[in-house]
Amino acid sequence: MGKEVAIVGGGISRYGKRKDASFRDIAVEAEKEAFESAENISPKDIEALYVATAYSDRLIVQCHPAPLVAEYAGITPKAGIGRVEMACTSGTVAIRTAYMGIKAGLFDIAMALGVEKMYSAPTPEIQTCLSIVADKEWEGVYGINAPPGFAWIAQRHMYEYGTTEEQMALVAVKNHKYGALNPKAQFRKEITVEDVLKSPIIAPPIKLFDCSPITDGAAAVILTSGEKAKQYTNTPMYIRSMAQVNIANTVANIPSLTTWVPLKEAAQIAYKNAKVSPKDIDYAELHDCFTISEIIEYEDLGFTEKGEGGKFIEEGQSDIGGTVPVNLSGGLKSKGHAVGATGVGQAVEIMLQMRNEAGKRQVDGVEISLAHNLSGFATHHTVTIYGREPY
Amino acid sequence: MSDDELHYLLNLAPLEKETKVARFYEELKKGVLTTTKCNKCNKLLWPPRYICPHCLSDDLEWVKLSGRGKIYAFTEIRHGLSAWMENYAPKPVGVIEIQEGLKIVSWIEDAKFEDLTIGMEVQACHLEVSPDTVILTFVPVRT
Repeated sequence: MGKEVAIVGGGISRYGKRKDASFRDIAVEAEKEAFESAENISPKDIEALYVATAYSDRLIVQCHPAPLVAEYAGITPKAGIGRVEMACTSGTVAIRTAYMGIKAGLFDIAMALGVEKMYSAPTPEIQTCLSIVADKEWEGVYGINAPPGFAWIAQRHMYEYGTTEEQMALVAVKNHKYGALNPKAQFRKEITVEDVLKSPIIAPPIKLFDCSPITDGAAAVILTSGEKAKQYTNTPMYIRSMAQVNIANTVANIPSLTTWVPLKEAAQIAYKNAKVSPKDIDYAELHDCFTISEIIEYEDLGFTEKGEGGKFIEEGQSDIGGTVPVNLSGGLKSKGHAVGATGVGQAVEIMLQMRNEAGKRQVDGVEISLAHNLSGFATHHTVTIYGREPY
Repeated sequence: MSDDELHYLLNLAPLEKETKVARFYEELKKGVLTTTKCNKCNKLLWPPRYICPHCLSDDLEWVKLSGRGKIYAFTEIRHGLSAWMENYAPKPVGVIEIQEGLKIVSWIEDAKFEDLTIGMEVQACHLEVSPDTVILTFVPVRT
C-alpha cells in the first residue's frame, strides 16, 4: 500500500555534555554529516522537514524550533514542516511523519532531524521536564520522572519472574563495551557488574548505572521514495514497516507493568507488515532507557519467552554471536539519550551497520534490522523494521 | 511576584484549579476519597473524569471509595529531583491497588521505605502542600 520509502543518508553529532555547542549548532552538526553520507543531494532538495525535540520550550526557552532548524540547515521546505514531540519517541515519530508523507505521494524527499540540548538548564528544571512526561495532575505531581516509574517495573519483574539486579547490570556492561567503540558515544569506558551494583541508588532498585544519562545531541536522516533512492546512494535502507501503538497514558490505565502490551501489539503489526518474524532480525537498536527496559524488550519483541529476558542477556544472546545483537551503538545507556534525537540516532546506527561502516561495532550480514522506541512508563511504543530490499 | 505565581513557576501541583473535577479535591480536603463512575456504561474511572473515555457520556456520578488498598509496587525517590521535590525527598512512592480494583499512583506517608512490602495494606489520606492545594496520599494501615 503506498510508495516504498528508503533512508539514503544519515548523520549524528557527538553525544554528551556539549559545552561547546548550542541547540542549533548540534542540529547542523548532524545535518551536515547526513548530507555528506549521500550523493547528488543538498539542503535545497529537501521538500519536507520534521524536527523532533521534546523539551526545547523549557530547557532552552525556544518554541517553534522547526523553522529555526530549517533556516540554520539551509532547508526551505515547500511540502511540509513541523515539530514533533512524543517525549522519548519524538525522533521515531518524526521519521514516521516523513515516511507517511512520502508513502502518500505528497513529497519525495524529506529529512527527519532530532535534537535535544539538555544541559543548558539547571538540573531541577531538567528533572521537572522528565516528570511532566507523566500525567502531571495525577501522577507527575508526585515527582515521578523516569527512575521511580521504571523502579516499579523492575521491582515487579523481579517479583514475578525472579529477574536479578546482576542480570540488569549485564545490560549496562554490554552497552558500555560497545559504547567504548563508538566515537560518537557519551560514555566511552567499559564498566563491570560491580560498578553497576555499587553505583548510587536513584530509586530502588534502580541505581545510577541502570539509567541512561542526560545528553546533548542530534541526529538526522534523509528519506526518499523507493524509486528515487538509488539516485542518492548505492545502499539505500528501506523501511519495511513502521508500527506505533499507544493504549493509555497513566500507570493507572495500563494492564501490566511487566508485559508491555502496546509493545507486543506494535511488534506484531511491524512483523506482519514486513513479512518477517523475530528470528529474521539480524540486528536491533532497542530503547534501554533503563537496564530493565532492554530485558523486557527482549521478551515482548519475541526474541525470548516472557520472564526469560534476564537469562537471555546472561547467555550472551544479545551480543555478537547470540540470537540477535542489540545496541552495539552503546544504546541509550552508553551512547546517550538526547531525547528528541534518540529515535533518529537509532536509524543512523542501523544505516551504518547495513553499510558496513560501523567500524569495530560491525555485525556481519545485517539484512533485516529492528528499531524500538518507547515513551512514558512504557505506554507508547514504536517498532520499525528496515531491510536492504523494499520487500 | 505573588506567592501563587511563584508556586506556579516552582511547579507545585495540582495546577489546574479550574477544572470540572474540582469536587475530587473538595471531598479529599474533608478526608473522603472519591472518583467518577459512568452511569451509561457503568465503568469506574481513574483519574476522575468529566467525559467518560469509554462511551463519551457526560452522565457521570461521584462515588465514595473505601480508601483501602494494597501496595502493588513501590520505590523511593532519592535523586533526580524535580524542582518541588527538593522539599519532600526522600519520598516513598507507589502504585496502590484499591479495593474497588483501580490502580492509583501516590506518595506513601508515615512509613519508612525499608518497612514497605508488596501487598501491604494501606489507607487513603491527604496532604496539604500549600494553603489551598491538597494531594492524595496513602498511609500504612496500622493494626
